[in-house]
Amino acid sequence: MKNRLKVLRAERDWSQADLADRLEVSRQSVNAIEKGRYDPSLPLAFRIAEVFDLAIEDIFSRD
Amino acid sequence: MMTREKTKQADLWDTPGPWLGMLVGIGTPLLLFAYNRIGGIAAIVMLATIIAIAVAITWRFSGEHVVRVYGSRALMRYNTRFMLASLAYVAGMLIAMGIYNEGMPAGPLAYAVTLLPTLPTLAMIVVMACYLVEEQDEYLRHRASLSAIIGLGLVLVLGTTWGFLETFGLVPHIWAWWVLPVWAIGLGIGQALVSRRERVAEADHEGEKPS
Repeated sequence: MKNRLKVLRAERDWSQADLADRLEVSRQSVNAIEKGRYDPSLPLAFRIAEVFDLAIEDIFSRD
Repeated sequence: MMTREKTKQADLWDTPGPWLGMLVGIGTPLLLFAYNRIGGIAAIVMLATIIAIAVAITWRFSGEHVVRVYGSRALMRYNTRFMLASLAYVAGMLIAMGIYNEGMPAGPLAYAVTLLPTLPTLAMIVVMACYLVEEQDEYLRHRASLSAIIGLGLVLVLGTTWGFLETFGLVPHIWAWWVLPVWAIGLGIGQALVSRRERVAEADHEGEKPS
């Protein structure tokens, strides 16, 4: 699954740690999701969408 | 939003894990030396000292920046609990060996003696289970599960292979309790593999802020 986390972070000038704090997960989690090494669960994907105030499909897409 | 302490960049040496690991690593041979050369009382005094140091280390190395190094509070608890279980194992093993060398009691008491190293070993398994239940971070839980499966794979491969070699008389018999150390080695290999992948990804992650 592809994602736009890095771009969305850059637009807000957030570090991975900043995003991790907002999601209440570890920075390793954000890194793994951002790099496409781990696909988040649906609840976490919804939380990510809420944090960016976007729809899930605006952040994640199929390969 | 969760706020975290950012004033101090902590590393692994700011956590209790490596210190407790060193304590177990250095303390075990010292305890054996004290027991064999000086006597049971000296070993008990040394054991009490080591436990006191372990408690002090656990108390000293705690806090939000430590959680940050580990990744989660559950992981911090897991590391501390596992090290304390390891200490209990060393203590139980030494006491059981001492009793065995002095003359193993018969009947139910013999079973009680064998429980001394067994219970802390079982505690390590419970500690792992507690971690998987308590971990709220799904990626860290996934990472731990993956490492545990790699450990299980190693146990199955080595156990099956060794078992057949033993059946045909090609290798000596080994005791069944070896499954846990072998599993732990596999767990360590799994964690190292996962960490290596993370470090490679980290290399791509230029600093904290996105450019």
